[in-house]
Amino acid sequence: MNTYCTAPIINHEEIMSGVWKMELAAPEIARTAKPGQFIQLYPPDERNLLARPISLSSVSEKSVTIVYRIAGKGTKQFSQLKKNNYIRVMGPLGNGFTLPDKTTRSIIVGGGMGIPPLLELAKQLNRNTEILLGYRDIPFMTEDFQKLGMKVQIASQSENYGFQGTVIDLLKNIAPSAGQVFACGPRQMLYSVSIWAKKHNMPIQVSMEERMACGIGACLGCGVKVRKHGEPDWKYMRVCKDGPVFSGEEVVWNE
Amino acid sequence: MNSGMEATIAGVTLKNPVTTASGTFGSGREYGELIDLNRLGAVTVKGVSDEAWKGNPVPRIAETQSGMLNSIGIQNAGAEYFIENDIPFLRQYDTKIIVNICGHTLTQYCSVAEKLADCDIDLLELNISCPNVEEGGLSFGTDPHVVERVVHTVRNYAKQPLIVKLSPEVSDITEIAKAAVSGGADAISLINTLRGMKIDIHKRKPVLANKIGGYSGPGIMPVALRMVYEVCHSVDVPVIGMGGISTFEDALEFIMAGAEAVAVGTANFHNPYASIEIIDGICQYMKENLISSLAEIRGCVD
Repeated sequence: MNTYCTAPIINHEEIMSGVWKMELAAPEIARTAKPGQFIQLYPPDERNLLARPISLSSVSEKSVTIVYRIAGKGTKQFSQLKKNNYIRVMGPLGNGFTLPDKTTRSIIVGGGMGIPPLLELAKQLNRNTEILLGYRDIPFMTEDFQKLGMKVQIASQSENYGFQGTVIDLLKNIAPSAGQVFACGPRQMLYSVSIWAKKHNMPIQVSMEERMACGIGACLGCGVKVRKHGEPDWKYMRVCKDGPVFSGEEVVWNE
Repeated sequence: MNSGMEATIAGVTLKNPVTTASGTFGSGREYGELIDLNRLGAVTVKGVSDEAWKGNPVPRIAETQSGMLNSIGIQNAGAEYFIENDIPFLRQYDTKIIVNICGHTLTQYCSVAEKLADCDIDLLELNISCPNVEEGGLSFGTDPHVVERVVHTVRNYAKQPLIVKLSPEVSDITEIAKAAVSGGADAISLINTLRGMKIDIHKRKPVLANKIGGYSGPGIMPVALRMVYEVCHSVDVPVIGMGGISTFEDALEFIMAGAEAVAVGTANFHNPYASIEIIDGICQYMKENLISSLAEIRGCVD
């Protein structure tokens, strides 16, 4: 159930330059939140009217945590808030990932700011899960994934951090098998992972983003082209309500 | 017992003067999870076309200083879907239903009005002012002769009272309002969005895929208020005022300018409780100022 409230910030730290982790005491939101869902976070300056949609990176009994990058005026304002400050928030929103049964082997592919939303998902999957994380430069949150006891591989386009290349290069060295693929990251990455999954007959869930206004499915601002199985034509589905998680096979990627 | 907040539009009485602006509130289903729809004077639904519309390419949303742009293009599932799903949903609530109708051609406007003619809805709002629809939309709303003809023609198919929603992108809004009334409009609503633009300086291209979109939010309120004031002084039908209303003070300004009712739009995105807070705020203002009926202050500004 969706809640709109004012929540206190109980932890707020810059985990790398320009990337912040914020924990909000929001038991009503935490109670029903699922991996892959998001919250709408309202900038304190009223001149920025629209809330910023940010995926949950982890959920505890009474709090939710997000990781965001300063990308504009809204996120800049968030970064200036201190512990014990209050912020307006609405959530949990969207559909979230559909978890496979306990025995399914999963592959998780994350790129850049698409990595944080995959943490809570990884926590809820079995140990037989492979995690591939791709960065443009300096890796972050890698220990959070490594702590889960799953196989974690890291790619960076910079030459200083382990494997040099993209997460797609890593993916090509993975032995495909029956199981489920999850991905979150830049659109081009999601497309490439979807092609790989299709080639190996693996179902894939991708978490998408789009510019949003209401966040609850009313305004139809945040469309993504989806062609449902068995339907002749695509239609715009709502990232905020029908997504943000879609079947990678059903997204119309290149139009 | 009357609260003194009633607003009457073409014989339909709203329990209070607050409705939602078309396109910002869907058909109420999503906001209904957060607020009590029974509280609203009316729900004005997102534009309904004859057949389903896919809408414009994304991105369709851009934030601006104290406002936003949208180029959604009235994506909707079409009249039949709306009639089957949304009217029964809204009828569960004690609120009036205002159905915004749109089209690319006059025939399409007439067709949707005809499909809705025997439906259980209270009012129709004819959208001749959407900037995001290439044919129809704004092109029908800027020439007084066209406005009169379109309203007159749709009037023949519609059974419910007809509100005509006007665009601010004209040199003389009173001329358009008069044309709508002479074509048979039972009420006027205004303003729709103003066309605007935003450029991403890092990508060196417009934020909106359509380049241009409709500008809404608090930034447009003075323009909207001026136009509502002008229209209220030039026609004898009720006016629903909208454009940047975010607080009860904003709503009262429109009522003092002469509006019978007001619509809350973009403010819903900033605060999902905005419409309810505005109703409560007006009520509180009336108590504090010993106003027993909104009629006492409606149009009090000469």
